[in-house]
Amino acid sequence: MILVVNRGRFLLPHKMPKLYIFVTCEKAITDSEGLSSLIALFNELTVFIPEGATPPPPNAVVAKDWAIFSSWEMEPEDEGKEFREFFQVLYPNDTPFAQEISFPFRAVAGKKYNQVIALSKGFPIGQQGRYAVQMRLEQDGVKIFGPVVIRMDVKYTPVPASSAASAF
Amino acid sequence: MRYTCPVCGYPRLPYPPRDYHICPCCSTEFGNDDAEFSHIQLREMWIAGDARWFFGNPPPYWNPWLQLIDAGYTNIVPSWKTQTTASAIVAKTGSRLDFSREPWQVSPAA
Repeated sequence: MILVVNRGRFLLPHKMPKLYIFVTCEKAITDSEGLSSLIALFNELTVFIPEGATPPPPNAVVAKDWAIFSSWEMEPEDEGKEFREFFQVLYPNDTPFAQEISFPFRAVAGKKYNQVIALSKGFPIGQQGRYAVQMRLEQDGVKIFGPVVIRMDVKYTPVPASSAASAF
Repeated sequence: MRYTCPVCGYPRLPYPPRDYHICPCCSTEFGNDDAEFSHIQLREMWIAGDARWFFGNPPPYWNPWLQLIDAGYTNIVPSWKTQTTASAIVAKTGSRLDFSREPWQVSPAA
């Protein structure tokens, strides 16, 4: 499923941020007032392989801008607390692609939602199958939420060499 | 202070890329190798040799292609035509909604 909209499920009993949106897209834009626009949500990537060409090597990465967008609904009790959100992409065989990245955010009074956007310039295509975009939330080094996962399918599709040549 | 290798884009050189320092990633010796070849030529040579890590063990989950892309050397990275699509599970019915087809098609739950 590409979109997780969570109104309190999976949460620990004590007060903490609630995951509101967790999604992958090609672009996430945030305006000066903090409003976000998500462009081209996706959870499937088709790679066109010219007939006769060798498939991508296991560590292949295609140059592609994409983003992981998450939004947290903050509780009044969260004010002043600092959280850190971690993201990790896993290959279909569960090995990590690139290093785990993390972003800190602090709950601010009067700000109901906190958004975290992780940007990447490359997408792994070295394995066909179902990738996982994993996310968890920590507070003071202790996991308080997650991991939750977005599944991303990478498929290879053969195309005639002539049409591929014109497309490249 | 960290420096970026102008050949392979490795972003954690402990020294500036000059004065005979050697990049642990692509093995370029600055002041020597790049006196003979341009950085672009050295990059092409590194990639022609499968873009392997040179000295010791690479950082965990190191990927040469992502490093090149992050450094802005996208044009030299092997490319494939790709297309992204989205689908979602309709929560109420468990059916699969395929946004890539027009009009949208709903397949029965698996």
